[in-house]
Amino acid sequence: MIFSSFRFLLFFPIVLALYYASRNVSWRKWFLLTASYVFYASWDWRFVFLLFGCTLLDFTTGAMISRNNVLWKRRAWLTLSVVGNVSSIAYFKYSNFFIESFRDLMLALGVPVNMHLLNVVLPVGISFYNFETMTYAIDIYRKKLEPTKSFLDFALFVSFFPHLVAGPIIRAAELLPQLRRVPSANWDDLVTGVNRFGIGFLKKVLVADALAPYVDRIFADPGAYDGLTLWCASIGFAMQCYCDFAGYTDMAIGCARFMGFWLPENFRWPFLAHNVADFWRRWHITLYSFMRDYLYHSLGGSRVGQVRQIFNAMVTMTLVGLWHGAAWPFVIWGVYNGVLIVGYRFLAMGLERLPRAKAFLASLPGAILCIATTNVLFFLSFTLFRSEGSLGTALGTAWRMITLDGAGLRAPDPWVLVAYAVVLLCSVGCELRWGERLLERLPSRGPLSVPVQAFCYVVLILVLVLFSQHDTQAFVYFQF
Amino acid sequence: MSEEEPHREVDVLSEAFFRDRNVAENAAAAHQKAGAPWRRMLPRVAIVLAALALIDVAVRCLVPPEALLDFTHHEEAVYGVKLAQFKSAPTPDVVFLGSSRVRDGMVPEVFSGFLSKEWKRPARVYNLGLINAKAEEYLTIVRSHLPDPGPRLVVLGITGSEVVNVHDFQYASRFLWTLPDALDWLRRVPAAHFDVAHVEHFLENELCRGWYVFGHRDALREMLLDTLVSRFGVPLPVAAGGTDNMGQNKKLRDYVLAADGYQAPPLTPQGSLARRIVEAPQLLKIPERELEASPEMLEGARFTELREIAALLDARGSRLALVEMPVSPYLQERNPVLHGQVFRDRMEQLAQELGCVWVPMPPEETQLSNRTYGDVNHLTEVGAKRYTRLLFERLSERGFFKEPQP
Repeated sequence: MIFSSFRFLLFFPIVLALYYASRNVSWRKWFLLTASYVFYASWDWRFVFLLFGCTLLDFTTGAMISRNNVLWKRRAWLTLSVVGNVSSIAYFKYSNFFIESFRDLMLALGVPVNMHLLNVVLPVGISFYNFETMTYAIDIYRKKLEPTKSFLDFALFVSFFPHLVAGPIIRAAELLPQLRRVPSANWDDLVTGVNRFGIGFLKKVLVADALAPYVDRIFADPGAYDGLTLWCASIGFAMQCYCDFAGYTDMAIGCARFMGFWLPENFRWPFLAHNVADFWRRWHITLYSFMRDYLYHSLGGSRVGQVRQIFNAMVTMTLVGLWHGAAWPFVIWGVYNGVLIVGYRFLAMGLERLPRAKAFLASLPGAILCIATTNVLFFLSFTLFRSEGSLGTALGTAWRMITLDGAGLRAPDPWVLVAYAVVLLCSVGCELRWGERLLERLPSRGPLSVPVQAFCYVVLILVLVLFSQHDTQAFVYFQF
Repeated sequence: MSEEEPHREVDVLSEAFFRDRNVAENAAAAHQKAGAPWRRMLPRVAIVLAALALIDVAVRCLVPPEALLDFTHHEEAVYGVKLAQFKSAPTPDVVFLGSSRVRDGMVPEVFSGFLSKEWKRPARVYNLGLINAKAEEYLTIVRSHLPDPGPRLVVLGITGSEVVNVHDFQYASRFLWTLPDALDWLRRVPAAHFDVAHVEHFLENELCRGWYVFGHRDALREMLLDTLVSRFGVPLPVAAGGTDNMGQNKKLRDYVLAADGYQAPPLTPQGSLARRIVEAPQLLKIPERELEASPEMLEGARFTELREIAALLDARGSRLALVEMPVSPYLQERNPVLHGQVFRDRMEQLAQELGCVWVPMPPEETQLSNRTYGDVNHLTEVGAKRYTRLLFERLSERGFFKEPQP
């Protein structure tokens, strides 16, 4: 039941109506929990038990960590939580990857091993909700959070359907306080809810779904196309990925706001990033900040020497790559981004000694150059995402792009560049607050009048109705 | 290294990874403002709905379904426009009911020619063969779309694959169902065969009926894109792929709007089935259900839908003839249960129980060879005319056209 499906558009108003049918806090919580489990069961009812198991594990370990003052006991309970969550991800997501890799390694060493792959179905959203439950146990261990006494609250925090299957990865400290009183939406929430859901829907169906067939066609056989077309497809995939995931996040945030809940932002105009470090501050923010706070800092963070910091950063980024998929190209993708971040760090330190270069990069042409370079590096890395698990294909595609290999079919689609331009323009507009400035200059200086608002919504609805495809594509990030 | 020691904000990764302040604080601050948001929202919702309704009426008047036929998907056009044409016209004397095999295989013009001679007055015959229809669709059409009193004669052309596995998901039903049909289906379907998608499609179709722009969104989009390309020369995105139906749908208009519901099927570029069997057998597509073993047929299905159809037609004063709509000999050889003697025996037994006419059409009697088929299922125009003539003779022999004796 994806957010842009007809099924969800039936499901959500019913949920909303029943949620507001009673002011009773307990009723609202029980109802939301039931609705969230129904939402999750719509993919595969069997994994409802897994979701419940993860919830029970971390509720229990959180309580036990809090109850014990002895360090080794606290550590033991925390270990149980981390091992439980990581092993469930490892089993469902990585078991076949580990088996295949081990088999290949042994074969390379001349010792063929007869190991069969497991017939495992990946539960949707497992990487998201396991991370969320882990934050609870770790934050209690670090004494940053008081455990909740209500299992209902905790179960709802884990399974709350807007963030359940593809984030944003919300932390217990962010949602549990909101669940204590179960809010009702105010006017701002409703307006934001409508706007965010509509804009997210628009990103998904008008850009992401429209680009998908072209991108799929090129990456189905990248060897058949020339370098220029591969660049075009890579830009197309970046736009598809962004509009798909940012669109999903917008819809998730919109859904939650309809009920008065706030979810954290996940994107902040990533294609305006000035450098690679800036890029990761703007793309899938909740994942990368999770990795920083719960992995990188646990490895020592900034409290260790520079060499160790670099090593820790590389480990973190490699695991970020692996999080995206159980295949070597994803690992290489993580390493590539780790190298970029570390490289950028040294470059920034070097620039401190070159004031003229630093001044140029701070100017508008310099900023444009930085943004373009960051985008190019990012587009190049996407070949690793679309290589269907083959490292050779990914590297071959990247090489053809870098050398602008002219051999092969030329099939660039100018509309990909139009989509890129629109995304950039919207990003600049939002970053520089064009819309708000325009409103300030209007004579009334107030919000748009009701008929103008209604007109905008009518246009939005008609565009969505006319241009949404019947066979809506699943969200790209569901696979992660 | 102490765990309590704070991390510096500027280091290798902390500079990169950044997070807003806790959203719970934002939420708590925001919810200080109280108010009655839903009451404020209602006028806006009302204005939007009124504007959408106005636009809907305008679009419906400017581009009615007939004008959109070139851009409409085949199934939607047939179950929407063709059925509407049928319902708006005077009730015919004879209705051919069935799937696309009937659509291509029964020629009203030939049939009405013979019947007019028999009755010594003009006889009006309509072919209501609909693509992908099975017993569930026949029942829905008879119950909710045939006029009351009904046509004098109803000829239901069937094969085994249309009367078994009727509870399996049938996409076409959603175009036909009214609420009582949907509820009736829910009542009849065994739990193991229940598919929530069927109900969902029904609800979607109900929305389509009320909201014209939503119901015809694909056709409207394709018409819009076609206009942009042909009139303004706007290059379409490679990714759009929206106009893939255009061209092949141009002939749909003739068939859907035909006064007797029939249009001769176009000859495929590959020629007849016989030629394709010789030249490119690997390209012959046979739907999986046509090759299924069908234990239902062997073990004795109840044919609940057919029984209900017979009862409904009887109540409306229509006589029913069950007739075999023969598939090609090529397919009959591959599934003698669904398309052979087992099916004929079962139908004969059912017809006896129902007290209606049954017309078997074994290949030795029809002499319809693979040359008279365009593919494994559908007759060519020549084959259809020969079959229709034969059908008339067989029905005539069984006294189907005579007035019932008081």
